[in-house]
Amino acid sequence: MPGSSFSIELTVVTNDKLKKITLKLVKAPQDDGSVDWSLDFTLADRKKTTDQFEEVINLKVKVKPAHAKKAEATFDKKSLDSIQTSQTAVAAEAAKLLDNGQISKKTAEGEVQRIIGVRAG
Amino acid sequence: MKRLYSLCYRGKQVASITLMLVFWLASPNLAQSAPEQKCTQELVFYKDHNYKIREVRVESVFDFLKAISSDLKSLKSEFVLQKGGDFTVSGLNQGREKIENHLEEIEKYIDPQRRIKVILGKVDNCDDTVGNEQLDVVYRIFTTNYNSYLSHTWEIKNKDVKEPSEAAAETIVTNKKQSFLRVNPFVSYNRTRRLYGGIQLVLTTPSKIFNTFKINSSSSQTGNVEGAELAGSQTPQKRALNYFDYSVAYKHSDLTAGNNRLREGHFRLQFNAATRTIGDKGIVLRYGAALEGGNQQSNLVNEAISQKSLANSGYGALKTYIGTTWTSEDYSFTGSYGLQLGNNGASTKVEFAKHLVDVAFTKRWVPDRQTPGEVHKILTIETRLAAGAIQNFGGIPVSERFFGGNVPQNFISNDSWEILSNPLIRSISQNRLNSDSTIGAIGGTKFLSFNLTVAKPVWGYPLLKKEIAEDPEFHNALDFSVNSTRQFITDYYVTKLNLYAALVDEVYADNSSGRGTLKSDLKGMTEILNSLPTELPDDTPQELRDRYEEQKDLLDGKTALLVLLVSNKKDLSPQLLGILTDGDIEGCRNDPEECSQVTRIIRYSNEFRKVLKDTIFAATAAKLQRLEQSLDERRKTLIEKIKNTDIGKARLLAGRDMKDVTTVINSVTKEVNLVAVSPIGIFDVARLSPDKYGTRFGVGGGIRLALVNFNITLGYAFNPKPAQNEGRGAIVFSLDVINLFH
Repeated sequence: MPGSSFSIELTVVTNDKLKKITLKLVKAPQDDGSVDWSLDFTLADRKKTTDQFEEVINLKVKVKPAHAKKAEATFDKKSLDSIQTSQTAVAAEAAKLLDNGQISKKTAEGEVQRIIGVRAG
Repeated sequence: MKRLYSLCYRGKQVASITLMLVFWLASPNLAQSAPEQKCTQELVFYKDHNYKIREVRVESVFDFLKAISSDLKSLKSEFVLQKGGDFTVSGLNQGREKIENHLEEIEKYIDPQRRIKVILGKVDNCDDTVGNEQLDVVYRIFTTNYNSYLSHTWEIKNKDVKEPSEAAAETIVTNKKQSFLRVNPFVSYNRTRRLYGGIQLVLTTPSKIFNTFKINSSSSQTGNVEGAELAGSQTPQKRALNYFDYSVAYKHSDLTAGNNRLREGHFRLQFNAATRTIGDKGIVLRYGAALEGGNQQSNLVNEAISQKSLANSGYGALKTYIGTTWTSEDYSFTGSYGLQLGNNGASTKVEFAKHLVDVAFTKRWVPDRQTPGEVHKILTIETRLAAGAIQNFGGIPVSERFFGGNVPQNFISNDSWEILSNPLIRSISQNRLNSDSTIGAIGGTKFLSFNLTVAKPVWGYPLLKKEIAEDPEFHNALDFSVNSTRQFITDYYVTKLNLYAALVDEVYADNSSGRGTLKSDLKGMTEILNSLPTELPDDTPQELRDRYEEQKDLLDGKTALLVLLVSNKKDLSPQLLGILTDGDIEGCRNDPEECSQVTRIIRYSNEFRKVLKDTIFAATAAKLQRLEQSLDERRKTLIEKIKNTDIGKARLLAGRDMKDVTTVINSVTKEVNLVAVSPIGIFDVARLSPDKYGTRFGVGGGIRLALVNFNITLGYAFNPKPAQNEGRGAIVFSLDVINLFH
C-alpha cells in the first residue's frame, strides 16, 4: 500500500472564545524513501470575542527521526491521547514564555516535539 | 436535517439552484468511474521507476459546484507535477502545500470554534505495464468549515447566520466584513396563483446596525406580492440573548381566495431573539415581537359583516411569539406559540386576538451499513401539527381570518422560523379552504391541520465519491482529527469544571500546612541550586569543572522551566498530565529529554549529585536526594489521583460541543447525496371552522429529485371530499433548500 502525503489540521477555540490553538500534523514522504513528520503549533488570542485573533506564537518543528514511528502510531491509533493533548497545553504555555522572552526557542520547540514523543510505544 | 418547510413556493435561491442544476448536468461527477488499477508500491518506487503522470486531480466533496471545482483546479497550473511529467514525491508534497496555502487564504476571515482540515496527496490508478508506466496524482480535500468552499462564490451564500445556534453566531463576527449582493429569481405554480414568478434582491453590507436590505416582488395573472425590508442582527452571546435580529419592512399583497380578493399593505417593526443552547440536549428558546400597521381590503362585504368582520379597514397589531428547537443527529423538533392582538387601526383598543400553535417533528433513519458509492437511503418522516383560534371582540379584518390551502403562511417574517398561521393542506389550492360553502369566502376563525410526508431515496449517487469513501487513510485522518479535537475539548472542560482543583492545589500551594507541595519542592531545589556557584574553583580538575557546569546548567534550565510552567495556576490543570507523566517509559529510560518535566529534574538532579560528590559541595547532594525522592513520590501520587478522578461529565460536554463537527462529517460521509430520487407519500388532514363540510383530507404522492441540498418535489395530492371550488386535488410542486448540516 503506497503512502501518502497528508496534512491534518485541528483548530480548537476555548469556550471563552479568547484563545485559539491550531495543531497541524504533516506527513511528507521524501524522494529518498524517508518520511518527514512535522508539527506546526500556533497559539492565538484576543481580548474580546468581537476582536480578531492575533497570533501569539507559531512553532514549526520537525518531528525527530526517533519519533517518526510514534507519529505513525499516533495517526494509526486515530487520536492524540490525553497525555499528548496535555503536553500540547504545556507547549502552549511554553509558547507564551518564549513570547515573553523567559525561555529559549529551543526549549519551547522541545515541548512541541514532546507532543509526539510522549506517546508510549 | 432542518427543512425549510415549503410546499409550493419557498425557492429563495432558485437562481443559484438553477445554475447548480446546469452545472450539475454539465458535471462529469455523475459518471461512474471506470475500474481503476491499484497502486501497491511505496511512493518512492514510482519516482525511481520514472512513472509518468497521466492526470492530476483535485477532489473535494463540493466538486459538483463548478465554481468551487474550477477554483481548486485552477491551482493545478501551479503544481510541480503536471500531466505527462515524471512523478516525484517532493512534487506530491508541493501540490499539497499549495492547496493548504490556498485554503488558508480563503479561510482568513472565517472563525469557526472548531475546524478539521484534511488534505491527502496520493497516487492512484497505477499502470505497471513495462514501457508505459503511468499513474494519476490525486489530492483529496476535506474541511468541516464548509464556508471555506462557499464564502467567495456569488451563487451560493446559504448563510446560517439566522440559525439560532452558537455555532452560527461564531461566524457572524467575521462574515460581516464582506458586502454581498444576491439575486434570486424564482418561479412556481399553484392553482390559485397559476404560474407566477418574481425576483428577490438581497444586499448584505458590513454595516454594524442594518446589514441586510431585501426587495422582493412576484406576480401572476391572478395576484402579486411585493415587499422591502431593512434588517440587522447582533450576537451579544449572553445566555438569554445569544443572538437577535431586527427589521423594518413593508409588504403589499393582492391575492384571490375563492371568489374573494384579499388585498393588504402594512408596515412592520420586528424583533427576534434566541438563547444559547440549554442543557446537554442543545435546546434553544426563541422569542420575539412585531408591531404592524396598515390596511386591508376584501370584496365580500356582506358576508364579512355577518361574521362581525371587516371587509375593508385599517389594521394594527402587536404580535408576540415564543418557541423552541431541539435537534439531534437523526431528529429535529420545533414548537412555537404565537399571539396577535389587533384592531382596525382606528384606536388602541384590542378588537381581536389570534392564537397559533405549530409543532413539527422530523425523524430520519440512517442505515447503519452502507455500501461506498451507493446512494444513501435515508428514510425521512416529517410531521407537522398546527392549530389556530381567533377571539373576536369588536371586529376582525377579513384578511386576518384563516384561509387554508397548499401554501404555508408564516405568522412572522423570518427565514429560519416558521409559525403556520393557516391550515396547511396540499390537496387544496392556496386560500381555497376559506369557508365559502358555509359563510362565504371570508375565511374561518378556528383551524387544525396535520401534515405527514414520507420519503426515501431509491436511486442516486452519494456526495462522497466511492474512491474517497473506500480510502482507509482518509477515514483514519478524519477519525484522528475528530478524536483528538474531542480530547482537547475534554481537557478544557476538566479545567472549567475544576475537576483537578485539589490536584492543582497539591502542586501549587505554598507550604503553609507543613506538608509541602510540588511547588515547594521546586522552590527548595531552586534555593539549593542558587546557593551553588555557577563554576567550580579554578584549582578543580578541568574535567570535573566541565561536568559540573554542564549538569548544573541542565538542572538549572529544567527546574526554571517547571517553576515557570507551574507558576500560572489558572492554566495549570490541562498541563498536569504532560508535566507529570513520562508516557514512553522505555524512551525516558534511554533519554531524560523523553521524560516528563518532573522526571527530567529527578534524572538530571541524580546526575548532578554524582558530580557534586567529588566536589567541596558534597553535603548538598543529600539535600538534593531528599528533594528527588519527594518529587518522585508526589509525582506518583498525583498521577494516581488523576487516574481516579471521574471526568465523565467533561467527556459528555465535549461530545456535545463536537456535535457541529461530527454533524458535518456524518452528513458528508453517510447522508448527503449528490443526486437522489425519492418517491414521497403525503397525508394531510385539515379542518376549518366554520365549515359545514368538516374535515378535509389530502392523500397523494410524488417524486422528489434532490441535488445535494436542493429538492424539487412534484406530485399530486387528492382531495377525496372536495367542497365547492376546492377541486379534486392539487399539484404538489416545490423547490426547497435544506440545511445540509442539521
